[in-house]
Amino acid sequence: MAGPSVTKQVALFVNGKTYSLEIESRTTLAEALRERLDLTGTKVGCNRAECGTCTVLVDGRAVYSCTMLAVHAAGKNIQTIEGVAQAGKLDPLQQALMDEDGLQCGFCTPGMIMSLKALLNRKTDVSRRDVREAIAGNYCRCGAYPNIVEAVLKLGRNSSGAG
Amino acid sequence: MLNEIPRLEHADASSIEEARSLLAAYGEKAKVIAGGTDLLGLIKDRISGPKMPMPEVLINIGAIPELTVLRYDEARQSLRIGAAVTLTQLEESAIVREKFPLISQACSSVATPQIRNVGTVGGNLCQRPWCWYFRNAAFNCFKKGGEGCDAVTGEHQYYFSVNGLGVCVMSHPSDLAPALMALGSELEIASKSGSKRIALDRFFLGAREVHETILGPDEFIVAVNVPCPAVAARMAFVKNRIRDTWDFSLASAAVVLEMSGAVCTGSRIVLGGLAPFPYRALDAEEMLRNSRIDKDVATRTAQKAAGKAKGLRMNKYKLGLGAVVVRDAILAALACQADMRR
Repeated sequence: MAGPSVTKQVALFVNGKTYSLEIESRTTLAEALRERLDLTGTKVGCNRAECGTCTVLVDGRAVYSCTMLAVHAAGKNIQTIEGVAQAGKLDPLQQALMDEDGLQCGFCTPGMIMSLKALLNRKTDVSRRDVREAIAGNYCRCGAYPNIVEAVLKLGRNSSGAG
Repeated sequence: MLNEIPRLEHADASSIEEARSLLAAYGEKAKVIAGGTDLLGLIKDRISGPKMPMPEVLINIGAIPELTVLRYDEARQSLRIGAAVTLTQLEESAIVREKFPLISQACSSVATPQIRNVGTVGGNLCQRPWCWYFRNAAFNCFKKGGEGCDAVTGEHQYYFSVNGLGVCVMSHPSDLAPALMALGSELEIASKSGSKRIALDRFFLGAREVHETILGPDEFIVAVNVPCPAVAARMAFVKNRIRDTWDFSLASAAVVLEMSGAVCTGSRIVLGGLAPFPYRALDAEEMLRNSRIDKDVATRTAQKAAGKAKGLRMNKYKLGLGAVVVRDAILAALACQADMRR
């Protein structure tokens, strides 16, 4: 067994790429993403698992990256906001948020998108309640919630309309 | 801010045995971690004191195989929930929804999706007080090794007790504990000397103790065993909070009714958010025995459940609120047609 240590060698699997790095055990996933991998799309607001802007997906589930140790995310499938657009093309969810004014200052947006991706990856036919529940852990202090919810519901209607 | 967590050591335990020997080797300096949703916040905020040393070594028990199992044993009619099972896994489990809807309801009312995806069952039962004096480094409260309680003379209108008051007046923050207790759950605990079993009823300590549970610094929960209730059991969990989401309970109630036709032959009623521990309302349980429950009976039982509660200067409204959640939970349980009954 490996005894306790202050630094560790870990492999982080982020947006389909593997990064091998030595990190301090105390490093949060948010710190590793932003400071070590330069993936600064993930924001840190409260740094206390309360505001939600640091939300990323770990094995498909939304988590607060500010309150997860990076060593606990090692070997898991991590997806950040940088992995949402594919080949330079916005994800339909991102486009819907732009079309419906689902953001104002934009600081909460990366976290909002990741929480909503976690929902839409499991369920396509979503209700208003589903959407509200999915972003219950994400604060938007501009108050863009109504447009965010509408954007997701409209997205659902459009994709089901397109068959 | 970067690196709010001070430099510390970390080890992944791969077995209960390994975790046990690490805890024995590092003693009070070590702390077990799984989800870390509560612990990491306390560490970042430097919440510590003579009776609450800052952890220097974290021992991750979250990946120990026995702790990640969620399994229903058909022969024993018992659900085994590993301590590192997440609240989301528990909430979404088909067997839990079918046979133990109370647990699923309680899980879904905890915090936010992000917390439930990481937070574990063991961590939920062992979470520290949600008291703004305890969680502020400027206050050296009784729980950290100081003297007395700043909440008694301070602001205590929300997450504080009306019952079982002691030196500390926090109200126990867990939603899951009342649900598991109402189902008569038993804990399996790893300790220095091996493993021991204890009824969840006997796990939590009173408000004159520094710690909320009987766990020693070298012990941790391995699993929760939940016996399947009688075939004709009905159950419900009701939680009242300031906001409809992302909030701790002001008052909650978990109710399990055993029915014979229209008659309630036995019950367990456990309150959350009203005492420094999940509070079993024995008087109210007794009152329901052999009764035909209707709205009137539920209301009178609920008033009984408030019992000898006194409340503090600013939270006496919670006496009435407690009665409301108990009444609502009894009526919701009565209306619940669990699939298991078919």
